Amino acid sequence: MSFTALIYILALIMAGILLFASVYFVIMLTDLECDYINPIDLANGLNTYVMPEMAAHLLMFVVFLLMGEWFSMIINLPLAVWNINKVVNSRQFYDATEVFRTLPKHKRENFVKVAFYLLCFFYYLYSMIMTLVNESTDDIRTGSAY
Amino acid sequence: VGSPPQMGASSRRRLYPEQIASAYAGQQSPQGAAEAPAYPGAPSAAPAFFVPGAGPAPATSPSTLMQGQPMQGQPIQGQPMQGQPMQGQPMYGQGQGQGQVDGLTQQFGQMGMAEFQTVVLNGRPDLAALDEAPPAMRLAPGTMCVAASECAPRFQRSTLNAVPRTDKLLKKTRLPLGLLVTPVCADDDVAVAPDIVRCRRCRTYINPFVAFTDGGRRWRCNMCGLSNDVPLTFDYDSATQTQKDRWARADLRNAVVEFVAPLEYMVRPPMPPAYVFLIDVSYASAQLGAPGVVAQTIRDTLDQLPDADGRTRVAIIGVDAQLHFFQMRTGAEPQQLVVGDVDDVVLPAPSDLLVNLSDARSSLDIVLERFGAMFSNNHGVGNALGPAIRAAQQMLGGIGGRIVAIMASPPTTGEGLVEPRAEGRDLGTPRESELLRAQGTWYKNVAADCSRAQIAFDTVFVGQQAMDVATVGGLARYTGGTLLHYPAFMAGRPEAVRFSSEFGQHLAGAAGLEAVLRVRASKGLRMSAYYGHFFLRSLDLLALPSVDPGRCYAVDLEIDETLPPVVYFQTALLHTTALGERRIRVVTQAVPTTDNAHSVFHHADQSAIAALLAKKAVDRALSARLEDAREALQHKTLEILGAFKTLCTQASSGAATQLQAPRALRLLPLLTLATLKHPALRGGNNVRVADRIAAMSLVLTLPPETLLQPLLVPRVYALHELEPNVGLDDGSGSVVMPQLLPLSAEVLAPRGVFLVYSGADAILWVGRDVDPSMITSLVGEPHVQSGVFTFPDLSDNGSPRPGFELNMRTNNLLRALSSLCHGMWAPPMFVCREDGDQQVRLLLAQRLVEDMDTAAPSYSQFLNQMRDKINRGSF
Repeated sequence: MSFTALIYILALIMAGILLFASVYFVIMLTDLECDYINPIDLANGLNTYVMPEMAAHLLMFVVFLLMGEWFSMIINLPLAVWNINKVVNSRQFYDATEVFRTLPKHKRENFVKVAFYLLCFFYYLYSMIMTLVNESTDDIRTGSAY
Repeated sequence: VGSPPQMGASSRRRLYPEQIASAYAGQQSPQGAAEAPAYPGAPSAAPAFFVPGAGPAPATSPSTLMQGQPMQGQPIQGQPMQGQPMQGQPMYGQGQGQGQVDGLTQQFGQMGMAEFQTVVLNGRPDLAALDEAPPAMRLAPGTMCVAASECAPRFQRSTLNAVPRTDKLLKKTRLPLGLLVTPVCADDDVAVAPDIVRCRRCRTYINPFVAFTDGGRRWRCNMCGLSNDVPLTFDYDSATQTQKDRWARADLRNAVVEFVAPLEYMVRPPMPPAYVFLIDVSYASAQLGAPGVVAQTIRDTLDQLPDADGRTRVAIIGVDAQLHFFQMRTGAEPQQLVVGDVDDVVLPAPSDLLVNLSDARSSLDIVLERFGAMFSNNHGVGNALGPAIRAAQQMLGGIGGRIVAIMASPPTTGEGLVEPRAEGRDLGTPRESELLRAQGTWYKNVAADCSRAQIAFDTVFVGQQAMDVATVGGLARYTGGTLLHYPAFMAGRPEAVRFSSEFGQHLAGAAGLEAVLRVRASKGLRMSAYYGHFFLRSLDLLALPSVDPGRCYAVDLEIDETLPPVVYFQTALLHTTALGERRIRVVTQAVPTTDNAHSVFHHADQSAIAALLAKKAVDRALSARLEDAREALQHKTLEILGAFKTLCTQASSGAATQLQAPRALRLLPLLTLATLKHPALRGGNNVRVADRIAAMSLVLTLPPETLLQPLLVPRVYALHELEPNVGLDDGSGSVVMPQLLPLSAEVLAPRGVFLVYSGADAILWVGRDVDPSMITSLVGEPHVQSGVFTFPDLSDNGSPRPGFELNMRTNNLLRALSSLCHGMWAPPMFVCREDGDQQVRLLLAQRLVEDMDTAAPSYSQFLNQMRDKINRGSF
C-alpha cells in the first residue's frame, strides 16, 4: 500500500469527521432558531469545535500540498483561505451577543460546508480506490504482486 | 331620534349618521358618554358607561357596528351583567392647539384632504411641533375598544400611525416601520388586573381590543383570531357570591395594565435587590477624589434603595491592583480584608461580605464614611476589574443583582485586562470605527454569563484617562444596565455635585429585576431587529436582568403578508418589582392599516421615526462603520422625502423648486441633521471615543420624548424678554414655558441673555451689551465669567425676592425642564460670554443645530442639498 493510498484513507476518515462536525453545527444553529437552546449554550458548545475543525482541514490541505495531489489541494484551497481569513480577523468564534444578527449568514456558511465535505468525501473515496487499483495494476505489471 | 352630532375639536368620538346611531340605540343619545379628556393619554374622567350590577347606563352609546359587520359583544337590553363597551374610538391623540380640525371633517374625513396638508420646507423649522402628540389614529369602524384604551405614547409608539397593508406599499413609501417601547416609565401609575387570561394559541394577554362572541361566553383573540373561552370569574365573583361587571376589569379597560404573576411565571421565588459596588481606589481615582465622593453618594442614597421587605443586600469592594473587601458583621466593627492574589479570586470570608441592608446598616455607614479617607492617599496603581467582577459574581451567586462598577482607570491587572488604545491620530479617519468596537471577547462573555445569572452591570466612568469604554461598556450594554460618563469629574467641582445627584437618582430609581420582554404583533408582522441595552435570548425574547425606568427598546418590524384593517402590538414585560412581587406589564396598542400612500405619509410619527432612525444609525456605527451610518441616515431621509414627492405631490416627476413634506414629517430633516451633529455620530476629529460611546449609549436607550428634545434638539429661550407670566405657575401646577427660539446663532442678540438647554447640560449665553442690572436680577451679581457655573437660587423658599424675579422664574423654568426629562439629568450650567472663552463658545456652537459647522451643513444648506438630490432623482 503506497503512501498516497494511506493519505487518501486518512483524508476519507477526516472528511467523514468534518462532515459530522459541520452537520452538528447546522443542527445547533437551527436549534437556536427554534428556541431549543439559548445563545450562550450555543456559543460555548460550538466554540470548542471551531479551532479543531479548522486545524484538521488545514492539516489535510498541507498534506495534499506536500504529497503533490494537486487537484485535491486545489479543491480545498478556497475553504483554507476562508478559514485563515477568519482567524486573521478574529472572526472565527461565535459571539453570544451578536449571534442572532449573523444567524442567516452562519447557517448558509455551514450548509455550504456540509455540501463541500460530502463531495470531498466521495471524491477522496474515488481517489483512494483509483490509487489502490493503479497500484495493484502496477504491481501486476511489474511482477511484484506475485 | 338621535341628537345632533357634537361639534368641537376636542371631541374624541366618531359620530355616525343619525339613522344608524338611532337604529341600534333606540332612544339613547350618542352624547353623554365619557367626555373627552383634555389631552391624550389620560384616562377618561368619568367612565359613565358601566354601572355594576345595574342595567345599561342610560347615557351609553351604542356598541359599535357598521356596514354589516358581525355584532360583537352587543349587550342585550335587560341583561344586567354586561356593561356596554364604548363604541369605536378612532380619533385620539389630537394635540392641544395644533391643527384643530373641525369636528365635521373628522367624521367624514377618511377622504378628508383637509388634514393631509403638505408643507413647504424652508429655512425655519417649526420647533413647537416636537411637543405635539403623534398623529391621530383612525381605527376602522367595527373595532372594539374602550375609552381609556388609547395607549399613551410614552409607553409605546409606532413609527407609522397608519400602517401600510402590504410590504410593497411600505417599500414604496420608504418609511421605517417600527415600535418604540418604554415599558417602565418613571412615576407611572398603572392599573393592576386581578388574574391572567391569555389566548390559547398565540398566548396574547386579553386586552381592550378583543371581541366577545357567543353571548359573551367566548372571546376572539385580536392577534390570531382564535376563539377562546371566557373564564367564569369574569362575571361572577365566587368569594363574595355576587355578579361582577366584566367591563370593570382593568385589563379590558386599559391599554397599559399590570398583572400579578402566579407561580407558573417564576422559576424561583422573586429575587431581592442586591447591589455590589466595585469602586476604583487606585492612584488615578484617588487623584480625582472619586472614592470619597462615590462613598458619600452611596451613603446618602442608602435610604432610597428599594428595601420594602428588608431583603436588600449590599457589598462594597475597593479595586486597585488588589481587592479590598469589607466584612460587616452585625454588632462588630467592620473589617477590611485585602486580597492580593488576583489570579484566582477567592472570597476572603464565607459570609458578611454581602450584607443585608437593614441589619448591617450601621456597619455600612461606618465603612462608607471612612472609605474616602482610607483611600484618599492610595498610591496603588493598576485596576483589577476582571478579578473584582469574578468576586462579585461569586458573591451574587445564585441570586443575581446589580454590579455597579465605578472606574477611573483602565483594567490592567488580572483577567479581563485591556490595553487602552491610542486614539489621537485615528479620530476622524475610517480607523475610528474600529476603536468603537470591543477589544477581545472577555467582557462580552462575562456579560452573557451574567445575564443568565440575572446580574446586571452599571458602568460608571469618571475622569479623563483612557479606559477603553468601548470594551468595558459592553458589560452594561448586554445586561440591560446603564453607562454613565463623567469626564470632567473632580471632587469639589460642580461636576462632582452633578455626579452625586445623577448617580444617586439612578440608584434610587426602582428598577425591575430578572425581567424578560416580548413583543407580539398581529399575524403578518414580524419583528426583525431590536435596539437598546439587553441580551437577546431567543429570536424574540429580550432578557433584561434589570429594567431601568425611562429606558426604551426599539423594534424593527417587517410585513410578511397582507395585513388586516387593524393591527395590534402587544408588549409583555415579566419582571420582579423592587418590592419583591412578580408582575407582568402588558402594553397593547391598536394601529389602523391603510392602502393609501397619502394616508401613510400623513399619519407618520416623526418623533418615533427620528428616534428609530437614530438608534439604527448608532447600531450600524457600532457594528459597521461611522461613515456608513451617517451616509445611511442621510440617505434614508432623502428617500423618504423623495418617495413623498413621487407618490403624493403634483410634481411627481421632474424638478420642484421647493422641498415639500407632509405636515406630519415637517421636522424630519431637522431631526436628521441634529442626529448627524450629535456627538454619537458626529464627523470630524474632536469627539473622543469615550464621549462618543457614552453619547451612543444615550441615543440607544432613550425614548423619543427625552431623546429628541432636548438631547438632540436643544431648547433655546430668551431670558431677557420673558413674557410677564412665563416662569410662573399657570394655575394648574405647571410652569408657563416661554417661546422656543430657532437654534441658530442669529437669534443671539448682543443685548440679550439666552438659555440653551439640552438636557445633559445647559448654557447661559450672555451678550456683550447686556444691561448689568438684568444680570444682577438673574444671578445676583452684575458680571459673570465664562465657564462652569452653579446657578444660584436667590428666592426666599420659592417666593421672589425683590430685584431677583428673573432668577426665580429661571429656576422655575429649569425645574420644569428637568422634570420633562424625568429628573434624569442634573445639568451643569456653563456661562458663555459673547466675548469670552473659546471652548465654551465651541460647545455652544455644537448645540446650535441649525447652523453650519465643520461636521455638517446648516439647515437651509441641508434642505437645498436634499432638494437638489431629489430633483436629480439620485436617491
